[in-house]
Amino acid sequence: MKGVQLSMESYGLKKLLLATALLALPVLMIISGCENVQDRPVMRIGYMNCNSEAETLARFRPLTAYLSEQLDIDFKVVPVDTQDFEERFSAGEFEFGHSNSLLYIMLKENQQMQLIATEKRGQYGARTAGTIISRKGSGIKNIEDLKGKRMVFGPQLAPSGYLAQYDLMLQAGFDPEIDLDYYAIPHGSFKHEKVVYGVYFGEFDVAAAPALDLELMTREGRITADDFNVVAQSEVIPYCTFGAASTVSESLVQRFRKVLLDITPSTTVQFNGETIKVLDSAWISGFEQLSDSDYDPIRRMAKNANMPPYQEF
Amino acid sequence: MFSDLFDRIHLLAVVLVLVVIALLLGGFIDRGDEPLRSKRDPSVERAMQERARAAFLLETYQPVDQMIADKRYAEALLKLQSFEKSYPGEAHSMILRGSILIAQGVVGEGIAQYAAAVKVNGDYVDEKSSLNRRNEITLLVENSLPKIKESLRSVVTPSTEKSLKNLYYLQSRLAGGCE
Repeated sequence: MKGVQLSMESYGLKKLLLATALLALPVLMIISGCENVQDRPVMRIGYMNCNSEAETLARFRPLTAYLSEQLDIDFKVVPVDTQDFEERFSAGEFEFGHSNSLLYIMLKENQQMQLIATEKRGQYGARTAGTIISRKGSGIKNIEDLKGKRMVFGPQLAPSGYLAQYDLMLQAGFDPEIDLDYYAIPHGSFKHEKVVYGVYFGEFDVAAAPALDLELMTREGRITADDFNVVAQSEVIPYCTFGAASTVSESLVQRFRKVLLDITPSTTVQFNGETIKVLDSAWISGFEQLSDSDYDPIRRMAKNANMPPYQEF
Repeated sequence: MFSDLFDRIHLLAVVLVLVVIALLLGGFIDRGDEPLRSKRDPSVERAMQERARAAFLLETYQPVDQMIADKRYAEALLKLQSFEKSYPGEAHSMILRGSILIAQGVVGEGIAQYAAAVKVNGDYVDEKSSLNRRNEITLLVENSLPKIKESLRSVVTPSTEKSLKNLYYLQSRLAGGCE
């Protein structure tokens, strides 16, 4: 009887040990996993908001996860408003930045940002252009015809939605501040689409439209090529750009660039339990390595239009 | 058996159908120009189709050619975008897009468009074709090849490597012969 009791006790002890081991295993796994994540350095990428923070997060989280996976760095996504970008970058809120090409120039001139790679999207690849459009049949066919007309621009820091067109007019001896009857910038998100529709529906006579947005809207069937006159087109300029703070080591910049340049349309990443195509999810067709001198046309435009980083009062 | 009028009409219809079939099989009824066409030389048929195709493309894309001549590049690209919907994958869209991009200094993308167009339709390097663009493509290769090689000496990037590959492809298509 005593023997039976002992064996019962030993059986209970074994069960207790087994249960403890089973409970401890996942806890240990979690702890070791946490330690691995903690081991990875943490860095932040500031992404310029095009339309909204939600859109920025949805577009760039998978790409950021892919960069983390490839570079073994825990990258965090920081959505940034265009107007706040320089201030937050100079305050050290993020080490890497993805912004339009005018912001890159501003950060290069004022904060010594290092150029990493340029995003490719649309027919111009890593480049884009600005256009001035009017409604077909309006009789507005060249810049002289803009005299006394109502114009709508894209956001002020948009290289192909504001700067390029402003510069085009100045180059033609047309001062938008004096020669236009009135000009405006739409409120809220989707400004580039709004300016195109502003002309389409007759709210404005002419608009500053990026060539890429016209292309996308035509492709999606929202407008047709025959709806508008392209009154003028700027020279081609680099599109959205990845850059790094001057404090980021040259070797990391090179590794970051290589990862971007090697991404192909079939590259995928595991994100939130899904296998996602990196480029598709970010609305990008690839990346290209341009040189800083490729951005000189934007420098010339900004100087001519008295815009940052060369603005003088 | 066929005392009923309705049955007789049916019988008459069946007989009529059988007679027509017999006549058709015997070749007594004209079936259009089919026999005549089959007697035509297939090479003539092929040449006609090729010419019709080239004429169609040149006529359809004429507004884009005019825009390019007027340097209205943004409008020309938008028009090509529209054609892309009606004729997806058409090489003529690619060749024209290539020439617009090259004219605007977008070299890598332009070269890629030329190479893709020639891959789909060899007429662009055939000097006997009305779609022939040999001179334009030769000029592109001669001007771009040294520059691309030079830039690869300083920095090797996937896009410049791709451009070099595309230029070699165009060069080999211009040379012709066995591959």
